[in-house]
Amino acid sequence: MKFLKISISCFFLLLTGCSTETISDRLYTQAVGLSCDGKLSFYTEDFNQGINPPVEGISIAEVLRQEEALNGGKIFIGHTELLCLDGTCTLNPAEELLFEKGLSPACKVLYAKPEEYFQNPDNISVIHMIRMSEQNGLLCRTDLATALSEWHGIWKTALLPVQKENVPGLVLLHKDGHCTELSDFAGKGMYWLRQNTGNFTMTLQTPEGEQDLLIKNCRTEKRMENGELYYHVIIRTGTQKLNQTLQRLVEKQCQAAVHEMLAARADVIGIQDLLENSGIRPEANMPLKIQLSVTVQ
Amino acid sequence: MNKIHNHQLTAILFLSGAWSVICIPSLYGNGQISGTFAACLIQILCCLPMLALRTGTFSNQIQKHKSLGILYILFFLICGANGFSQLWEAAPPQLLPASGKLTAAVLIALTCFYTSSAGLRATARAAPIVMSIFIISLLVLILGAWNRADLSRIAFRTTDFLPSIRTYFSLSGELAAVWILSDTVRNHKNAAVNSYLIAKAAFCILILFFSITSGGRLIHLNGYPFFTLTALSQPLQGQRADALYILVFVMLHIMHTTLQTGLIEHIAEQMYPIAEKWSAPVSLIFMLIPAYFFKSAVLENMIFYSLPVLILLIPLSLRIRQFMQSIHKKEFTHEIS
Repeated sequence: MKFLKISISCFFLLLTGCSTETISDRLYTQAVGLSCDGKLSFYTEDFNQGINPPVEGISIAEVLRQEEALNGGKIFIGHTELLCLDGTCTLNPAEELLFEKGLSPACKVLYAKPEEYFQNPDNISVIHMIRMSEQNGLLCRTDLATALSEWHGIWKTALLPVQKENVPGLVLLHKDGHCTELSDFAGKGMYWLRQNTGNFTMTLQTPEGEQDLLIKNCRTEKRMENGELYYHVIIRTGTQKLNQTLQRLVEKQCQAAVHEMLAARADVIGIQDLLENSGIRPEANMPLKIQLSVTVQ
Repeated sequence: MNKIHNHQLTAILFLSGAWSVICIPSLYGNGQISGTFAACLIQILCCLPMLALRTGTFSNQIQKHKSLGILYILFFLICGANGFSQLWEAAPPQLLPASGKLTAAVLIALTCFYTSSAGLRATARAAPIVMSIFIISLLVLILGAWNRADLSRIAFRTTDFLPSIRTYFSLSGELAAVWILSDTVRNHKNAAVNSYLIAKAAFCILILFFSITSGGRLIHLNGYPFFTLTALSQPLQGQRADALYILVFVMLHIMHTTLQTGLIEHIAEQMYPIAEKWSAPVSLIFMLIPAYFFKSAVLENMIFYSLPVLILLIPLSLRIRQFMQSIHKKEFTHEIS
């Protein structure tokens, strides 16, 4: 028995995991693109070699196998920061990448054609642009996990960032592939309705000229009363001046956001959760009435 | 077996129970929070007869009635087998320490053989250390999940109330160990057992809470909410937390299996001293075989239906007998005097 125990202890010394693979055997991707026009096309840019030639296959497992064979390394997508999708591709392959291949849930999902984007990608600047826009209150927070969760809702629509001339914009991508681009005004409204952060300075147009205002914090309270949905945006500025101007502006932005979202038959502000928690079974064609209010403190 | 401390008892029972909690499938309903809370209260009541028994009752009984010892050995074998079955069914590939679920199970079984060879006391001593690593991982999980939490998803519901009580009970095999282990605790055994029950329920409710608030609809995609949460909860931008989750996942399974193996070894040793050497490897083999052939749902049903007999009926009947004996003894002393 003692011999058996010693043998087992010695056997465990061989299981350190350091003997078989080196770092050069791995392919660490920075950005991944998916397109499903007929066949699944898989685009990657890794930290060492840059852009890799795209591969085609019928499943994620097959394209990964081909990618590994082509680039001579075992692919690791856990550090991927950007996933590029177009209307041809549903989020199902992305779901497989998240749950089975270790894709980060915080990975940004960009709405763009991968074949065009991966011709000359500038991932670092795109990722930083999206992150800084989110921090500075120019773009509401989106990521892979949020997009997947929205896509699995009854309205089957996810909110994704899209590259525009200056700051990124927003699109509502439906599961069937068609997308609706939100106006800049509605995009800002989405920020207030979805975001629960703040701490940025915004500039307001007043009759006295342009004035800066620090947004310390913002949150949204949701409730359902008498069959109507109430969204109450509370913004804390820590100052009394300009509050009314801000309130009017945010109200208009939120109204635009809700109007464009409902026109596109989408839900990216948690309507389904609110209905389900109130004991109502949501249906895709049900009429929705949303009451908006804004308080600036 | 030497005496163990009350906090070691809490830790070892909790870690074994935590393994079952992370492998609970379909744990994401609002009504399950109240169900888990109710199940915890019922379990506290169920443990009362076991804790009221005199110290050493279990050892005396299994020496007198060997069939009782065999019954408990069979139960712990099923619990151990269920652990391996859960490993095969629930574990996502990225949380396994080796490629291939069978290889991972065999490696874990070998580790369990090594850890159980030192006896239950050594396992109990290791439990608080594992517990501290588990708490750190849990904090990382909470930190990552809190960023995504939407509290408006929480609502009071009664749906799934009764099924969640049943699920919670069928994954509480370690309750039967309370009787055996509480005999070995120096003092405050009631507090130790209650702490374990409350901590396990709190952990289960915590997973439920974050499954609902952070997981959203994604939780429904994968049958096992804890593993979905580990995929979603990556709080560090430049570093993945998977290594921490792998460590905890494997350690919880090792603690769970080592506890079952240690208990079998302990019972077998008291019944047949010659069985001391071979009970651990044999029991591990007999855990792996049913785990390979039976689904965890079948083994969980076996645990659910045998648990009331082992934790309630047998200890309660013995307690009543002890109570009656003490009354007779008092009357006899009174008559003599």
